[in-house]
Amino acid sequence: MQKGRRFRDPVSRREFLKGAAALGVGAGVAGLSLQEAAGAAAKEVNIGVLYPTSGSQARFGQMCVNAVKLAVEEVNAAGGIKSLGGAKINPIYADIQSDPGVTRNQAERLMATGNLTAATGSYVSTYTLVATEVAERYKIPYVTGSIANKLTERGFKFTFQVSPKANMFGEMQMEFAGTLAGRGKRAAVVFEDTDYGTSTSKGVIDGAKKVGFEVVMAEPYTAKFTDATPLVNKIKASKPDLFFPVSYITDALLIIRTMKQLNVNAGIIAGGAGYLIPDFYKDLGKDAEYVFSVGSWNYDVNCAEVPKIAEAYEKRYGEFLMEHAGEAYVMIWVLADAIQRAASTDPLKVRDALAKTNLTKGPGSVMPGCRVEFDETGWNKRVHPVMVQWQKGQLRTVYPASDARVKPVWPVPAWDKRG
Amino acid sequence: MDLTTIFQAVITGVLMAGIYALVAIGLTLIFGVVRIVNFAQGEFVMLGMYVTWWLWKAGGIDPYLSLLITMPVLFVFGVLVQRFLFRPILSAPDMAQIFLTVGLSVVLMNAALFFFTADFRSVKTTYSEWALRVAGITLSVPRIFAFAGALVLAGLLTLFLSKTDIGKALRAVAQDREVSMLLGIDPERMYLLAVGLGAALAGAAGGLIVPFFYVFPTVGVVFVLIAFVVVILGTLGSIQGALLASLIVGVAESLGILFAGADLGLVVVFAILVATLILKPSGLMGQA
Repeated sequence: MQKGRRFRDPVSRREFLKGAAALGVGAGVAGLSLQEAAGAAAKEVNIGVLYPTSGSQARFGQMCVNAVKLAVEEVNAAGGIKSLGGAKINPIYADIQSDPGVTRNQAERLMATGNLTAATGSYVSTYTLVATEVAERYKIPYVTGSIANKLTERGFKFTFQVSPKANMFGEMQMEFAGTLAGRGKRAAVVFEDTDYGTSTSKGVIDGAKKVGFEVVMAEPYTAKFTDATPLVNKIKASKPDLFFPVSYITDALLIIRTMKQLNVNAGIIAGGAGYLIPDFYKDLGKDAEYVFSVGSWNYDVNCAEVPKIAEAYEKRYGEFLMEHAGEAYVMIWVLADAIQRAASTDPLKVRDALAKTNLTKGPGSVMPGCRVEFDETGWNKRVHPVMVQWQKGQLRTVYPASDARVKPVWPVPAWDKRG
Repeated sequence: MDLTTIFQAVITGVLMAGIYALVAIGLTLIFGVVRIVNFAQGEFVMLGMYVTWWLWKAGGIDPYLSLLITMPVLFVFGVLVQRFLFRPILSAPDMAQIFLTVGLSVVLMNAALFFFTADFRSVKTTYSEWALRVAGITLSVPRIFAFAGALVLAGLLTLFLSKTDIGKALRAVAQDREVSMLLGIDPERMYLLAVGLGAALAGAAGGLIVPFFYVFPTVGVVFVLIAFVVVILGTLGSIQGALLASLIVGVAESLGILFAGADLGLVVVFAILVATLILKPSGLMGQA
């Protein structure tokens, strides 16, 4: 009681009235501006942005969110959606916590509000498969950079995939490895044992046989190891000429470090993800040199706008724009283009506009192939994966010829022959 | 499969066991004395790793030297956790205790995510990549250090518990709280000491791991699962048991990867755990 009285006492009646009056005026002004907003159509376009910014995938997720922020700012700074009177894009970020269950809840939470125009997100197929199911039910267009073939092969009307499909990665790796090393080589394939590794490895193993490699080892491993020595020991025993790992981050770093320690010399042609992020070179330094990887995007993609985008990102975040983040960036511009053409915030109209997307220039087109056009399943039929190699601290595209910026360094010098 | 490959796998397993043992001993000490299963033990290791990393990054202090700082810091942290978090729920039902320590683990993980971001950090030392090559077998030098450090710390702890008065008092509380009070021992203080020591060991584990592993907010999860297997296999509360069990787990995991498949290392470990629990439900060191 004592406390309450002490709190109330100092406010005199006059002050109270003054305060109330000010509040009333404030409310009046606010009401006015709200009306104005509704009338003059300077609306906002709500876009759900679903990435894992905590949990095991947090590192990748945060880079993607950074790229999305950059793209949204650029769209808005360039005048927003002009056909909607300069409406700004309003990204609504949802952390899907590296968990399919949370992904479902977050997607439901965003889409059930009924004021979402579209959604984008997650390079992790496991989460995107869940999120797109929710989107299909709520009839919200969902643009993704995930690679699972299944995504656009389920007959869904609201899923749009800008990235190459999973099977194309293995094919590209093998086509490249075949040109590089010739037939009859001994190939070892290891892959982390979740959805990502197992789904991509199939293409790699089949592809290896097709190119005429002898597959001397093909094994899944658990990425949560604290020591790669047992695995690398086994790889060493299989005496491979070429080594195809599919890994996340720590496992990628530990595998390469241990290969050096055990002096296992094989051409490393990796399956993306952990081999393509800034941390890989930051940690391994010179030991990262000459490692090849397949990727769905790279910061030297052969399109006119890419250098400017890559530079803006690097200037702001102090690291290069990596594979998944590059796609995250592109997808915001793809959405902005569709909303512009739909001239509406209605998800159904935006969906129809997306289906007619045909971007040949501008920041929305900068996937490998420099063109974004969806086929009737919602897949970007103009895209293909690229092969990259770490050269002097830079990740450079080396294959296919149409995209290559530099020549691949081959054969790779042995560990003990490096300076 | 030649002999060198098999030998390499065994040695690798033994070296891994050192780290498993350190994390597990901290866990088993806290349980043995305070009777709390600390699900946040992995995050204690994570904190130790970040402290070590930060000292190296900001002050250029060698990870092994910084054990002298990391361990006291974690000790104080453990004491605070016992005083303000564990003590109020010591007599609460098991479920409440589990929620508390799991909750603490989530809080610590997300605090690390907030302060250090999700970036993967590592400490680069001159010896990070040193390796000894003996008869075709490669031994990673930082792992040998970690193994040796773990043995030394486990030895010191055993000495402390068996030779000093405080150590004996700690064991007395672990054996029987009421009787120890009759003998003039203040159990509350022993609890503070036990959790402090448990956290300091986790910190030491963190410091010894950093030269060859990566620091990130969820790194604790990697170690805590194995630590629980070790602790249960070696009988909850037994330090000798934890040492023996960590050797078994390390070698079984390594050989499992070699012979059964790279994703089956832990399956072999769990198979051994299940088999042991069927034959000897209280673990290797327990009464049958």
